Amino acid sequence: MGSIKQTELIVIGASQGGYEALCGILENLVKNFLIPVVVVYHRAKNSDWNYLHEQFSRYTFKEVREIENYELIKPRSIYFAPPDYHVLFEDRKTLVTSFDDYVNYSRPSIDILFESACSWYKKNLMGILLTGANNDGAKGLHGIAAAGGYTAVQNPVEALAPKMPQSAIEIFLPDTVAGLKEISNLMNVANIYFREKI
Amino acid sequence: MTNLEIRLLLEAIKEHYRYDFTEYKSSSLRRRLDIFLSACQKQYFSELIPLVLHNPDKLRLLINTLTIGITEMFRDPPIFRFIVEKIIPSLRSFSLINIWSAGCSTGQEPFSLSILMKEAGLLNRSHVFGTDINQDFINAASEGIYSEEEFSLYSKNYVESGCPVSLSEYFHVRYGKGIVNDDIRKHVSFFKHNLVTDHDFVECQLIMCSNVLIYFNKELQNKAWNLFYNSLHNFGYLVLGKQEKLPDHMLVDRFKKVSDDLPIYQKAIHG
Repeated sequence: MGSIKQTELIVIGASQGGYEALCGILENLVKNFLIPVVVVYHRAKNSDWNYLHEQFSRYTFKEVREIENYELIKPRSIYFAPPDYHVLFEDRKTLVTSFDDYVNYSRPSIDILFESACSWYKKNLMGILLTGANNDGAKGLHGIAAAGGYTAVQNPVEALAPKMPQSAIEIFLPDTVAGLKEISNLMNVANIYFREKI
Repeated sequence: MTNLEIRLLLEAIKEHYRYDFTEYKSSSLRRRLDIFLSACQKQYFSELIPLVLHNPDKLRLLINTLTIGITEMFRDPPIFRFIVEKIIPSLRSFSLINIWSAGCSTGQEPFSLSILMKEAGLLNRSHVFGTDINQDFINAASEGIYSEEEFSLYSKNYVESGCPVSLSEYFHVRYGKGIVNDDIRKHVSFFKHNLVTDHDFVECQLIMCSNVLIYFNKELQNKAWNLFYNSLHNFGYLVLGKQEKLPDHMLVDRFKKVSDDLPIYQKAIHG
């Protein structure tokens, strides 16, 4: 069992239907949400970042970034993997991009982000897996749980594409399986503990 | 302990074979070493040291795992469109045009560039040098043979790059594979070259290096920027991968950015 009291970083994986799900989570976050959030959201190679940036900037985060090589992560910020590149943690504070082969037919791959974040953050990591039509992220999320981190999965019944959250539930029991609103509430509680710590 | 073992392994390879991976990004390196370790059915990274030192074939396998060969012809069409529209016209004044595709993997990028030169009517005045650290890739590149699936992807990229004819003009088909035509191949040559340990290569008007330096740490990247600077003709162009950019200190007086949204630079002359 992970504990949200320890959370210092949140990683989110989303695929098909991910835009709506991400908006559903972000719109319920408290003002001045501090914990840095890193997202792998599968999207087309030529997807329009300017549009996504504008949309995601409507919410609590001071900075909405598409990850560049050697990106330093800071509080009050949310980071998105660029299309067609994997992202990994080079150290606790630095994100790097990679052009390694597809994993689970995906680049960026949620598993790669989750495994790499987990190797640095362990019990201080919260992993969230949302809607999607493949099984990317299930293995990585299981790894987060095994390392003592907190894991939350969108209820497949509510997901636009249930396969991704379903795949996770089939291999282990996450700490929470819930709707978007409840997942953002969990993030808000984790944020209270994080605020006290820093 | 694991980090110590990996360091020892990389030092051994560096000492013995002159392949230096010690300054590669550790996150990507670790992932690939994990893959190699399980492929060898070993438990500890230190067990790989005798394996690799006494068996050059294993070293080759390891190098193939550590240096990845993922590339496409006309990958990132907007970049190639910029080369066609903005860079090639300015190369016309040269009697001899040298182009260097650094870290060219299995040759797709140098052949793409040579095809563009042909379309511009500059093929006979141009030569493309493809280099890679990996000898297996260089051997494959020299063959110039690509599968049918690869070929259909390349054709799509080619069309998106705004090119006028069909990519099949530059290939002939044998045994279900696409083979690059001789007139193109004659103007492309491949060499093994190590961006970390080797020196200037040839003076070029255009250097393309995409998705190679993202695996280097910052010191190693700086070595490569300097190497490219020294290898470029005055006002020559440097084209990087979509996610890459030159650090600010290289933009003070050495390079200037020539596109708002693409990682394309021109060597600046000061003084």
